[in-house]
Amino acid sequence: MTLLLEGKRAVVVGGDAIGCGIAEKLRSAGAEVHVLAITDTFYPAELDILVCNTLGEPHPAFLVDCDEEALRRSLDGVVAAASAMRTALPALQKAREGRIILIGHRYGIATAEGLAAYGSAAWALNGLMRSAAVEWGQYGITTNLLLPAASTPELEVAQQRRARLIDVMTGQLPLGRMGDPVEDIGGAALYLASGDARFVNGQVVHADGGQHVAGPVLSPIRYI
Amino acid sequence: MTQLAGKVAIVTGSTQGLGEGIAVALANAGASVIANGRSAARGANVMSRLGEIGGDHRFIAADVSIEAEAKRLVEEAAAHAGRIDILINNAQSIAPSARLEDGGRSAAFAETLASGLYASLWTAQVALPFMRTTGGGRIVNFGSINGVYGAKFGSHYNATKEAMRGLTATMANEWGQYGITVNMVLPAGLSPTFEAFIALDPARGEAMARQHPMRRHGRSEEDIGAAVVGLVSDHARFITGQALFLDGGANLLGLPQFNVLEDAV
Repeated sequence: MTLLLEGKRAVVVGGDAIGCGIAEKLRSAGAEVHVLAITDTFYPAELDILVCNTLGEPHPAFLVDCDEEALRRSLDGVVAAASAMRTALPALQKAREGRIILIGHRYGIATAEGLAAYGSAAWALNGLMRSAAVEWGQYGITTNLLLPAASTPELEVAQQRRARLIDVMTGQLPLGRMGDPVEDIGGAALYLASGDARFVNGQVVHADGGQHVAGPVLSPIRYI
Repeated sequence: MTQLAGKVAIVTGSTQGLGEGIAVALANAGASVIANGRSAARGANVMSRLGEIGGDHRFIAADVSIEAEAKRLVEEAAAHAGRIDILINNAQSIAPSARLEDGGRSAAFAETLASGLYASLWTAQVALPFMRTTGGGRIVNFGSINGVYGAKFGSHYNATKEAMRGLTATMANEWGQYGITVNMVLPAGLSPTFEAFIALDPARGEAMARQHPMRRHGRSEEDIGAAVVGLVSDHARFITGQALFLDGGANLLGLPQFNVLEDAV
């Protein structure tokens, strides 16, 4: 069986649990994958798939306490994604069927208290994704925003602090579990990166076991 | 590719257009396809294409806008293939365009709702126990950009397609526990109707393609069909309840107003 990404080259910017999960899945599908830090400026000259996992962690604070510094710290993640996309553009143009996958957060389609800075950045990724979709679609490049709900070290910490709350939240997902960073989140990224999704462009894709149509949005400042 | 080897897929309304393209793409990915349309004569074309690919494919004639027929389709498919893994609820009859005040009456609404919304519910209800038996399944329902924006003169179609969103999310919530994912796609691509429309005015067809983010119209097999294949593949197993445009991003730029009444522009 031919692997879905045989001969493809991918860069994942931001190597946390989600980024590494995606990298592992793309690799298992035959791609050559480099995981880069946000600060890296060296990109392979030939590139088919760019995954921008640059949003970082929420630092919950009420809007009244959210100063410019806090806002900038969150929005830096959006700027980093845009920079990575612009750096990668020439290579992606050359690839003809280039793929850009931004990794966002549910707080970028919904909201809760205490997320003024992080929520603003997460929502901004929507605008960035859509801009690339309409401006770079002409090069055969698709750009989509993937919103994961996954078992991550951060979730484990929350689980230890508020076990019952997290269990209830997880139980409310239609699929009844949080996603595996490799098979579930990486799997969804593989779908978007594959030739199958060549006409899926400008979309918010929820790799969340259905959370976006189910569970309430938890406020980390109140409940976690 | 053998992404879907061993899987059995029903594609309603697959005698032509997007349904045909999806059926062919699923077969190319290794699935056994149960194609469907209202008559066996209409199915000759798609069956000939599936025959060229090879594999165990079958045509079952059924009018899915009739409850007993929709249910018989799924029962016969399961009896033939022994399992049902994938249900593609593509069928949709399209009533003539009409102003709300003229045509927003029961006949067009009833026909459109029956062939789209109710047919999707009926087929899924019968498929459910078969999917539970094998530990999971994939259901794909169909929405439309026209429903999202409320395109003029298509109230029956628009209402049906947006009702599909509620049905899809509810199915995802209720049946996720059985390992079944349920998603809605909103495709836009070349169909016989659309091709006939742009054949009348090729320059307009090209102008429309130029306004498209990807500068081209979607192809039923390579673009829409392939996207459906990916969505029902194992690697998309954590995506459920999703409404996914398969349109190259055209929806981001608003509603292309094709379906206007001649005298109402």
